[in-house]
Amino acid sequence: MSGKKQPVSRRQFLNYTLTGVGGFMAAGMLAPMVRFAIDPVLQASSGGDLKAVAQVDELTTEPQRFDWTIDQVDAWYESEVTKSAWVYKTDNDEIMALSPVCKHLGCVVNWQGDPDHPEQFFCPCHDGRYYKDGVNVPNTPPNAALDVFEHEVREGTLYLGNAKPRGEF
Amino acid sequence: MEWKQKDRERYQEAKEYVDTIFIPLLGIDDIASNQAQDWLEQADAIQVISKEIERHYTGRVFLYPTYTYHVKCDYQLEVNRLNNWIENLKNEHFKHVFFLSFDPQWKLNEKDLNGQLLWITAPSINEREKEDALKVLHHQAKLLSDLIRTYWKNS
Ligand code: FES
Repeated sequence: MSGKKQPVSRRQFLNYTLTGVGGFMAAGMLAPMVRFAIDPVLQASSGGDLKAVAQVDELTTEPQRFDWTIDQVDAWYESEVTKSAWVYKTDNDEIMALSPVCKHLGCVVNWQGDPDHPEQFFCPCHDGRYYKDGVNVPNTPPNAALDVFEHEVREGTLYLGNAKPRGEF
Repeated sequence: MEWKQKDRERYQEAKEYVDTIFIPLLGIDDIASNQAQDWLEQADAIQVISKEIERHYTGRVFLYPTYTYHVKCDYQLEVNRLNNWIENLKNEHFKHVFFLSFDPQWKLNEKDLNGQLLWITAPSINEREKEDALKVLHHQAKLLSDLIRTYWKNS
């Protein structure tokens, strides 16, 4: 009996290291984008139309984007649709969850998407802009404020429902 | 917007804002062939990426149905057909045309295409690891969206 340990071949070693490094890099790139896939706990829906999308303690006064998926019947097919929200805490410590869907023609708006207007949401399609509270900036294409998601907090988790136009609250 | 009944009316009302045509290019092969798995993965990937780009830019981009060809085709002929398509799809509002493909053969014929080819290497994705695959594809869609934006800006 030889007490020799199984040597790790050079090739295996390379394989291990490379997979590790690649995986690590991919995770770093992708982590902020697709939370729903990373934290399966968040996926558990809470009945009704509400979906768990974030933990309250990760919210800041800076809008952050959260993504999740829902099943939707689109014409003849049922398919998975990605939804997003821009979520932040207001100065009064209230949670604000804005729909990213531009009120002009529906493109996805980005917080600080235009370097010339750093404290606004920006729509890349036709340069539509919105203030931080979601109200449209006059003389840009959108003619209404961003929709607001119904929300609920349960045990530190933020649940979002449907996005509704202002005035329907 | 895309080639669906619900978007026809939307398009009519907003046509002066929709200035970009987007056409995914997808190769198919005999399902029994050794390469079929690659083409099948690409079929899924191209669908997810195209849909995601359409979602980002629904008010400006018109996504046409995927142009499908056999991978043993004569690409020069296909280029001619595609250019013909574009000729007939274009109207006074469309200023940008993008094609999306993973197939290197298009890259080789790029200069003859009447539009911008967005060519990326195919991600290896697997249906059983759907969530990981979606992460990768959404990330690619995001990068391509940014690229499209630079074309808009420079025009
Ligand atoms: S879709 Fe947002 S400005 Fe036109």
